[in-house]
Amino acid sequence: MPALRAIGLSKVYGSGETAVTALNGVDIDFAAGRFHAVMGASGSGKSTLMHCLAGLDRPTSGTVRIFDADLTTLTDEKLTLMRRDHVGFVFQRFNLLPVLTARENILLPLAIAGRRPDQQWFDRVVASVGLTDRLDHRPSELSGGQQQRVAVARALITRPWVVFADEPTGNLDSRSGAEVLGLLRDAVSALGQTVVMVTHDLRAAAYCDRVVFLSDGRYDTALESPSADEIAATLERTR
Amino acid sequence: MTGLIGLTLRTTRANLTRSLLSSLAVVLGVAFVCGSLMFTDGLAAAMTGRAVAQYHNIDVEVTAEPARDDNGLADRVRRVDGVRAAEATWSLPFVGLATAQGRKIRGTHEAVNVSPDPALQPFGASRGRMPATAGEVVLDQHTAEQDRLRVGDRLLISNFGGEPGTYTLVGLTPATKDTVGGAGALIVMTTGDIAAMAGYPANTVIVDAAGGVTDAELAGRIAAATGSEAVPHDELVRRATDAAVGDADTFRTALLGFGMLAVGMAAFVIANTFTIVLAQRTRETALLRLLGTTRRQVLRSVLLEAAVIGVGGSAIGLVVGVLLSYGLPVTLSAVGATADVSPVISVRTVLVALAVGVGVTVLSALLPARRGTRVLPVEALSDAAVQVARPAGRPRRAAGGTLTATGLAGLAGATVVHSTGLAIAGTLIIVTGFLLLSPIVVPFLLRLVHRPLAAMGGATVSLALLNAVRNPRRFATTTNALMVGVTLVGTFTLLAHSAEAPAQRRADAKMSAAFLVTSDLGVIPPALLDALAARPQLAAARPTYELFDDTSGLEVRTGGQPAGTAVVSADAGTTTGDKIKVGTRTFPVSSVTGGTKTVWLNPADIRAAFETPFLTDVQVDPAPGVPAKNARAALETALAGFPTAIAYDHDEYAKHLNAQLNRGLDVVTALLALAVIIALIGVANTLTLSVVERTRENALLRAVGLTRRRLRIMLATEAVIMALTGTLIGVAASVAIALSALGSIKTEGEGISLAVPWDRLGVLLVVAVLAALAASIVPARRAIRVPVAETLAAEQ
Repeated sequence: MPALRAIGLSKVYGSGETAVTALNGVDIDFAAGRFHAVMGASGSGKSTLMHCLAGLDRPTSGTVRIFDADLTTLTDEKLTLMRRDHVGFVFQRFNLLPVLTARENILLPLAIAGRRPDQQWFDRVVASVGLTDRLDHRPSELSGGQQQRVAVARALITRPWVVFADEPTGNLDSRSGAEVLGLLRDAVSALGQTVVMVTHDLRAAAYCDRVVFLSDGRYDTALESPSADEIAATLERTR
Repeated sequence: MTGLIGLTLRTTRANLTRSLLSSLAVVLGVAFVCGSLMFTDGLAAAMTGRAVAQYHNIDVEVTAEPARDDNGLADRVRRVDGVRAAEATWSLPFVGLATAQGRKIRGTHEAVNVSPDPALQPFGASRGRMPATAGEVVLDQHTAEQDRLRVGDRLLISNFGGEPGTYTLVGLTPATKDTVGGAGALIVMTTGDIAAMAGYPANTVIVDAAGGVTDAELAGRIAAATGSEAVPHDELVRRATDAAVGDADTFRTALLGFGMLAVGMAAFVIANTFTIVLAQRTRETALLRLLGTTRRQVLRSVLLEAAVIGVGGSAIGLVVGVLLSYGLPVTLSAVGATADVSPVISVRTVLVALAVGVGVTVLSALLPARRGTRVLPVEALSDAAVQVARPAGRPRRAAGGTLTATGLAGLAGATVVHSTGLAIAGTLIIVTGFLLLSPIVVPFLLRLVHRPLAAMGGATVSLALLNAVRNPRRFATTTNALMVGVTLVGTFTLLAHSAEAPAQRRADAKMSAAFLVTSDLGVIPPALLDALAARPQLAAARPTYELFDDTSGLEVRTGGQPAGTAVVSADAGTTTGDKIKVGTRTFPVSSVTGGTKTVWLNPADIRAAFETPFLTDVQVDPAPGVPAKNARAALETALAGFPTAIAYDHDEYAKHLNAQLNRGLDVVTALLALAVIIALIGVANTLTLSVVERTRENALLRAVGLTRRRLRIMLATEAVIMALTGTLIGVAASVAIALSALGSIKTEGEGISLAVPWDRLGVLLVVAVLAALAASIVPARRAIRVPVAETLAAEQ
């Protein structure tokens, strides 16, 4: 069973003459335990797709399934709990709450749920992102790369069904970016997580097992473990 | 949840500076409420203490039927078995007091008597001794201190309208006069002296019980023997305590009214703060939602934040309230309340402080919190840093418009049908309507003045104006608080000033001569006329008498018509040409005039027709050729022997008429000003938050060449605009309300016309502008300290 499925997914913003179709009947399966990338030109609908997949935005029509759950039928409350317990997020920026330490930021999803952390898992996640000695620092005391590593740890702490990453390297220098992509890669390979990443960075997509291309709100094509050159060529073609 | 609570507390602490301003509003509101409670608790304690002390040493008090002319009550009480001693007591509430040199002690003095028997004295002397023989008196310490009177001094004392007697001050007592009737001295005399001065028998007898009989038993025996009401000690104390507590409660209710007003203003400020802060935290809130915080959890955490601010504000407010409760008596002593009160801090006050502080903060945060937490999780990913303000909805416009129109109609209607109730209802409706409409109307008004102001002030002013209204709702909420405060102060000032104006006219109408001699007690002794006649520097005095004539059932007043004739009111039952019997004489009626059940006679005729008419005042002019100064000196010399009589010239008299009103006005204005102060804190608050929000923007302005000075001016202008808008709308509203209120009480052509106290309104405007300028200092400093390049380069 795929971890995540989009079935006939459409999203139209506005109505009447000003209506904009962002997604137009998208069908994609994302297999569990793999590192996926979604790519496409600006305006191809990749951000909208991710918002719909993550339950942040409601599609106009179509269905999103995370394992058994049909996100489009859930109430806002249930959807919120679904995100809290089974979905992880890493963003381009504004990832962390400035008043909390790194440790507290990592544990935030559990704190919101009122759940005690699993110490072993916490240690493992923290060790894997290399933050063991920075846990008591505030975000303002960390570099951009370190902040993003905290965000990755936070996304993994609940052992989510899916981790969504929205341009996770967009704000980082290339070395920090590579580190973060390595972490996501490890999360899939070593921890068995499923990651869906939206990006326009060719080198980032090259870390992935599978790259899905969108154009004009439609599924275009997909590549399995492509090289940066293959991705560049496909992007050029779908533009 | 623990994690989220921790996060909330952390966020509150991180935003401490922002929270501080809004908690300042809570602090002031709570401080006022608590200060009032602590002060009135102290007042109740003091008044109860006094009530109890008053009956110290009194076992039974006997009260005669008021109508019974009974000189022997005390003797009959003494004969009752079980009475060891009894004494008749008087309490004369309107007594004049002066030094033997003629220096008048102002106030409403009360004379009481004590028995020479120490077992019947409810209080003793702290210095000297209690009066023992005729001609000896004791005064309360406070008056003696204030008017520099010493044991051994000679004093003139007269009952109202009576001839003065000379007494020697033999001691001072810590006891005081009952303060409810206004400030004044307590004069303690011997029973013989007070009986002579009163001229009527005592209707109260106090009793000291012999051994072996209970107070209640004795009271029963006395009541049976004399047929008068006899009340035992414990019951006396209970009644007096109840009355004292009731008085303190009335006072507390009035003070708490002002307290509630302050709290209401604080609610405005808090609501606005939370609206702004939550708007700025949109992304943070969205992130929390994204990570799986439910909307209810977010709402709860915002309310928790409000509660924390509320608790902090309450705690500080309680401390400030203690200070205030010591300050209140000083302020209130100006209106005659006692200053001898030690504030009492009770558990109830602390609980009220917490309940008010936390309650008002959480309740005011509720609406903004509901709105501010309705954030979509995706907003965490969007780039918009500042939320665009929602425009006012159609229902709001409709409701606001309808209410404003209805309120205006009510205000206008009140002047036609003379209904004060309608004026009040109109006021409430129009204010509510305006509060709803303000996010539309206020920015619109500001856009109207934008062009001319921008033309005068240039780009800086233009930018300030645009910044002020860029979020109409925020701007309107800020100015609304101020508007309500100013409307209150303005309406009150206008009404009071308009009521004051007739005092000038009353002085004009009353005074036909250069000087007026009258008394605070309403009546002056007739012998004063002889004393005036003996002074060659003074022209013949024109006395004014007043009394009620039992024969005709008419009020008798002094008129200016020739001797031997009467003027009557139309309802007196006679007409021109008839004869009317007034007192012992009969007069032909010369004319009929307005008024109710009144007859006017020439002063000489009043003296002839009545044995003891009440002399209320005397008009005196200088004798021909005598300078006013000399005449005044002669007048004062003539009055030296009359403790109750006071001479005024025209200005002094008008001032005297206004004195009481003015003192009351100042106190109420001071109490209302608190509301305006809290509203001005709101202006500072909004500006501070706006500056935080526009850090990047201001850096951009600096980058393109706005000097620090200009940035400062821009922010100051923005603050002044907010302050002036609120103040001017408030003044306009108060003029409308005052016009309506004055119109509503106008009857039969008689009424009060609106007098605008330009000086006071001017002060109000200046204060608002200065406060706004002050409010802009800190935010402006913050804005100019921001490093331009870093801010622009930094991702937010």
